[in-house]
Amino acid sequence: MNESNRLLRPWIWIVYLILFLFGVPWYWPEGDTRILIGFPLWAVVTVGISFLISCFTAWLFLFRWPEEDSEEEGQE
Amino acid sequence: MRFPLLADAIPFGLGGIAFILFYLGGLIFIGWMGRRASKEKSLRDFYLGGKGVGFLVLWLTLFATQYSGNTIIGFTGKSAQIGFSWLTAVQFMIAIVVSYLIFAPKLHSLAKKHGFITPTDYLDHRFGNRGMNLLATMIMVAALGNFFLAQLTAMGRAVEGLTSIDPDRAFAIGVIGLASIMLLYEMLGGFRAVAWTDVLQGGVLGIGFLTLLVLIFFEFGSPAETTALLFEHSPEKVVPPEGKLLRQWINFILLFGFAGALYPQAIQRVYAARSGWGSATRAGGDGVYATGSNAGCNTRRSGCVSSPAGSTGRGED
Repeated sequence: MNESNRLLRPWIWIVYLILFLFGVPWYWPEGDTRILIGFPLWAVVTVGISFLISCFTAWLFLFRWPEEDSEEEGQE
Repeated sequence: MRFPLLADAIPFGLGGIAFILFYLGGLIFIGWMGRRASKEKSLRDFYLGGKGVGFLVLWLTLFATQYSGNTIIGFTGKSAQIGFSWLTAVQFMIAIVVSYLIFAPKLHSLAKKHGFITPTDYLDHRFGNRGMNLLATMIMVAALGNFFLAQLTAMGRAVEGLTSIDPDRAFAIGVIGLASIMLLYEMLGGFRAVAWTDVLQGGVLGIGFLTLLVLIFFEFGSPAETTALLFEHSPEKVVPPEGKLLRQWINFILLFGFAGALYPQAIQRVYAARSGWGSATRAGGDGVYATGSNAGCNTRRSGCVSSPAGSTGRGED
């Protein structure tokens, strides 16, 4: 797998799938009214997981982005 | 002689009016500076700023374009309508950046190698079919037209809300006046003007949002008090989304995630980065998808110029 495909490896997309799966609030009890730090608990968890997705994405950009987009990569 | 009239129309006091005039004048001045900085008369120089923009400018322009009229007018209104369920916006914004991982590295590399300027340049490079280029351009213009009208509406509504004159008149003045200013500085300085004015706008927006965040606590009390008040009046805006709202949540992530990453103006940003497009996105975080502006078709402003079908920058390099 060449440089430009470092971001397309299956494990990366499995991590995303898991994070988004828990980021979408489909699994909360109907009418849940629990509060945490002044906000609905489900909203706090959703924002927290969104933050994790952002961190993971930032990490990918920092450490997995192909180095300086070499000329060789541009060739088809 | 006109100043007293202006003071009547804009109830901010002289300081506020002076700031607005200074800001609008500054935009035109920056456009003129962009023109002076132009190194050559070429499509590449006008649409991509020559060799492209560096890290800091790219980052701030991405920030400024993300938090556009949509954020001020659209997202706040939607939040008021459906409550906490609009947190989906956070996730669909991130999904756009995630989609970039699929194609941006390769596209940036190809763009640098072959001198792409407009989004259809890639199609021309890949397929060499003018009909396809034309069709793609028409689709992009149609899609952006919708976005563009939303931005014009946001500008009109903003002026409507800021002035005390007749709402319809204020709306028209806002759209025509602000669109003219944007058209002027974009025509003067091309991509440089867009990126540099975005730096100014990004700074104003950043400071403004942080100030708002603090003011909310003084105006409405703690988050606990606000949530309790909201629950008392509209409990459906506090509880987890169900049914239709939940389906919309998931659809937003999928639709925005893929479609937002393919905005023409976003693709143009991939072209315009001086080197290592990832370097700017690293700092830009989820602001990377750049929803608002590009060199040729800036949907947050007026002066939307369609990408010429099949036009390439190869000859300009």
